[in-house]
Amino acid sequence: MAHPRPFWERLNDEFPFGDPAPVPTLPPELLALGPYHSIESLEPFHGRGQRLELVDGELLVTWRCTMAHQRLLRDLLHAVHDYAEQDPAPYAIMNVWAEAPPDALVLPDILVLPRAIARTDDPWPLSALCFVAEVIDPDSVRADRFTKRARYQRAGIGTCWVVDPRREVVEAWTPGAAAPVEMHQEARWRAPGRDHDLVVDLPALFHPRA
Amino acid sequence: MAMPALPDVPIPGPSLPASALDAFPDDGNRYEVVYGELLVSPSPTNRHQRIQERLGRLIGKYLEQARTAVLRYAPQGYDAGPTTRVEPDLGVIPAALDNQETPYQAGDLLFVVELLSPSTTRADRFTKRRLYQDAGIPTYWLVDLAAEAIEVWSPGATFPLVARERVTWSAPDAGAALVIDVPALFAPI
Repeated sequence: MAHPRPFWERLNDEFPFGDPAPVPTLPPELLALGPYHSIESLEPFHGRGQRLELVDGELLVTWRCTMAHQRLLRDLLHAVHDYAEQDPAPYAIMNVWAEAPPDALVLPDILVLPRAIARTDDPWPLSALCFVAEVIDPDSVRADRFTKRARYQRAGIGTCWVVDPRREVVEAWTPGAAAPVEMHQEARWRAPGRDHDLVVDLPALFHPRA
Repeated sequence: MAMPALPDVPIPGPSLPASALDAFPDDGNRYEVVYGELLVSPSPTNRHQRIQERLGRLIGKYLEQARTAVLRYAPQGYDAGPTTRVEPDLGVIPAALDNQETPYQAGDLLFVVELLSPSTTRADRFTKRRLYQDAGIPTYWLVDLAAEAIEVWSPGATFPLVARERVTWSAPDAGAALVIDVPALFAPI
């Protein structure tokens, strides 16, 4: 069935934000730290309304995401959750921070990691993740598609999905890949040890029924 | 500074192959691709050019004595895989590669210098710096025009050493090191 307008545009029209909210300024103490940051130096600045992530010392600031992003993320999260945590469930899906000290600290939109590691109280190492998904938002295109994606590849994370609602495509990146595999109809991922794939119907994801 | 307008050429997708740059026009902007990310830099400022030329002269003179390596200015390009091509402000390659006809690789570089401009700060400081480290380039200088300092990066470094007084670099098998007086480098004409 043809859809007259992309989900992204439709949803943002249906749930308008009204006047754009002012971009919050970063605390002067944070700016005074200089161009390079560490997990330790950022610690006092979390929880002030912005998501402060760190990749190779580069500060990535996210302060809002669109309604379309949240809706799409929720649907994708449910699909990944149902797959990753089905019995037996060697995997856990979380919305938590992962790190590679001293200069990488990220909060992926979706991450899957072995349950044995998820049970620990220690900060979760980036290299322990087996799947990451980032849903591109207008304010985070570069960071999601390039900066964080390249860092996930370097960390050896088996699969990274970059979900692009505007192009209605999921890019699948693996370590060492110079280009993604683009999936338009179905996005597939198989967790290590599983005998079947996670299958996400992309037209349904990008064009949910009302 | 505003981002320059992109030229009217086909863009194959959000992640570009380096070969896409072949179709870009010679319009005064510098177009580079790092791990598929397109970097567009407008023409540099006068101060950027002045200090680049001053530093290039010092490095060039040093290399004439050392004779083991040669200096290249932008827009000399260097590839690193199918999705990366960069044009550092200054690059030093082994003298043995001076007459090479095939494209240079980022891994050929012995020493790279980028001068920060307001429009290239993020790319120079993070995107290209990561590439230079990944490529194993032994020394990368990031010349910070605003801070009047030089950041010195090596492949395994997490943070740079910052030189404000003097900084040195040695070409392979050179008898003496190149010594740069940092305040003199930034001094007005």
